[in-house]
Amino acid sequence: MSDRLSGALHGALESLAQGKSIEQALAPHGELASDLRPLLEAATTAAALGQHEVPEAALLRSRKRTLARAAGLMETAPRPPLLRLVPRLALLATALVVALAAGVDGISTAAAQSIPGDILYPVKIVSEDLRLRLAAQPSERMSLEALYAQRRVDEVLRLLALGREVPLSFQASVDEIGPILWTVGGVPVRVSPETRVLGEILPGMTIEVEGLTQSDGTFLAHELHLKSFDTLGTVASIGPAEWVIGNSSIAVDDETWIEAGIAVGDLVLVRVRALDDGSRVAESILRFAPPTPTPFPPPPTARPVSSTPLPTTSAEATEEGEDDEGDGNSGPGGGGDDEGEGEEHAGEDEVKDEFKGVVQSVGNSQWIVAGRVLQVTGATEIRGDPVVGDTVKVVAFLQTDGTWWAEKIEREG
Amino acid sequence: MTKDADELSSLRRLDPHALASIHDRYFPEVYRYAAYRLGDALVAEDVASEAFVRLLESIQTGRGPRTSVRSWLIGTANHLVYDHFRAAYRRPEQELPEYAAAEDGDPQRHLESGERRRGLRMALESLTPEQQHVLALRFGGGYTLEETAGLMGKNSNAIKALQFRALAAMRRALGEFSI
Repeated sequence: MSDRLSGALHGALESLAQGKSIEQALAPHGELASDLRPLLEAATTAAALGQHEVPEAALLRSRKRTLARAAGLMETAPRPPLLRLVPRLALLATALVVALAAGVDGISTAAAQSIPGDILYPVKIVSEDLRLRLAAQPSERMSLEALYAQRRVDEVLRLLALGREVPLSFQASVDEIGPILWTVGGVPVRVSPETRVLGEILPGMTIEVEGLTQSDGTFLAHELHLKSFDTLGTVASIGPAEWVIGNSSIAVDDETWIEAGIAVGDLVLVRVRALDDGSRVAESILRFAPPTPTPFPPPPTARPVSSTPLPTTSAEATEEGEDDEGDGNSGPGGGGDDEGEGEEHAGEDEVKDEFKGVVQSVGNSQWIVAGRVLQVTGATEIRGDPVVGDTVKVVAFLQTDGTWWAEKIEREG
Repeated sequence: MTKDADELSSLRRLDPHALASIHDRYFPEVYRYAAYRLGDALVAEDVASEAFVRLLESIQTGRGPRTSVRSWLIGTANHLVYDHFRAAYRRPEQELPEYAAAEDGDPQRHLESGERRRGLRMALESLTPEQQHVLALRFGGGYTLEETAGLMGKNSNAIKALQFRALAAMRRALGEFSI
């Protein structure tokens, strides 16, 4: 949509909020009125879902529960930091003593083969922890973390093969999400109604899985916790503690690995760590060079279904609007006379992608077109009843979680 | 000290008076947000209450809000709503309850109103989580464009664009559900 139309819509919504009728709200917008009318009707309908009254009893019950939880937390308040370190230091010292006694190479070999539940397993973990602490560069640290995360997955697979029941957690990328069985890093993970799912998790994202290995060869999840995901966007601003990339503000800290020389306007690939409250911290920010567009869509086998949802295929990632002008008061009837009629395009800072490709898979909430995973909702406009094998034209938008939402899928020919 | 910094400090101390005050200040906002997304008073109460409990737990483990308590609570409520729908999806035999009850004694009107509301809700739930989020903030919470931008960590122009797409998608969905 054009900035002009979205600005006019905002102005008309403000008029409605002031109690004006739809006709009165449309009056200042002349030629845009016919485009705005259905949107205002939809807004009126959306508003009909209402601003709900807050029951006094609900507030009192919640306050009581919150204060009770606070009292419980006070009883189990954390020990001072120094005391909290003692078990960790003791474990480390034990590991070092054992290592010295057996010879570092010997212990490394034996411990490296251990799996959760083995006597030497803590040594393996402590030695890994030590190496992580000694990592001088963020890049080295990230490489080690990736290596150790893969080791945890391998250990889970070994435990499943052995049929041992061990409580543990591991981190890996989500391959598939099913109603009762997910695949995470190749591990079949069983979910139940009791499983807590924290964060909006989609295939390609990295999650932490907590639970229990089962004798039936599956991992029973108690909690699935979004840890990180990759996203692509244009750098809009660079601050000491916060960058704006695309539409999102992303915190950076001392541990963020930032490729040298990145400037405003660069297209970057960001590994984002998701915190419990929905806020995000960048783990790494690297300059992204989009692949050279090819005249034809890639073959259907170009990309596994489980790949991360990033735009790395033939599609051209269309970066829109560098004309950031703050909140640009283009409200009621505001401005916009210098633009032609609104052909739909992304608003500023949004990444919109239009591409053609062959439909490889059609699901309830996900389609795969030209190797790309697309989120499909009831709001997606689907034309021509495409089926697997058809060539379609896709209009998609990059979401803040790094996935692509299909706005329109239209069968060609 | 700013209001947010003051609130965060009180939360860390677990001071009951300050906690009650913070709870009462934000509970209505979080509740209204959840009620709009969910259409169910009891679940909305659970979600809003759980957001406060998680706030305390997160602060105690050093993972709480960095700047704004309100943004953190609304962000957490958004995730809890998402989890609720995910769990409901896994138990399809449980029909999602309706928020509205009969407002007058006419059973026919109630039936029609209930069906319309169910259709509206299905239309809303067919949007992406981000689109639902922005509509809930603008129309359920009554936040201004700038407030919504602050809560979603975006700039105002991005919210205008997102709001436009959300309403366009809502219009298509309403057509699909014949509302």
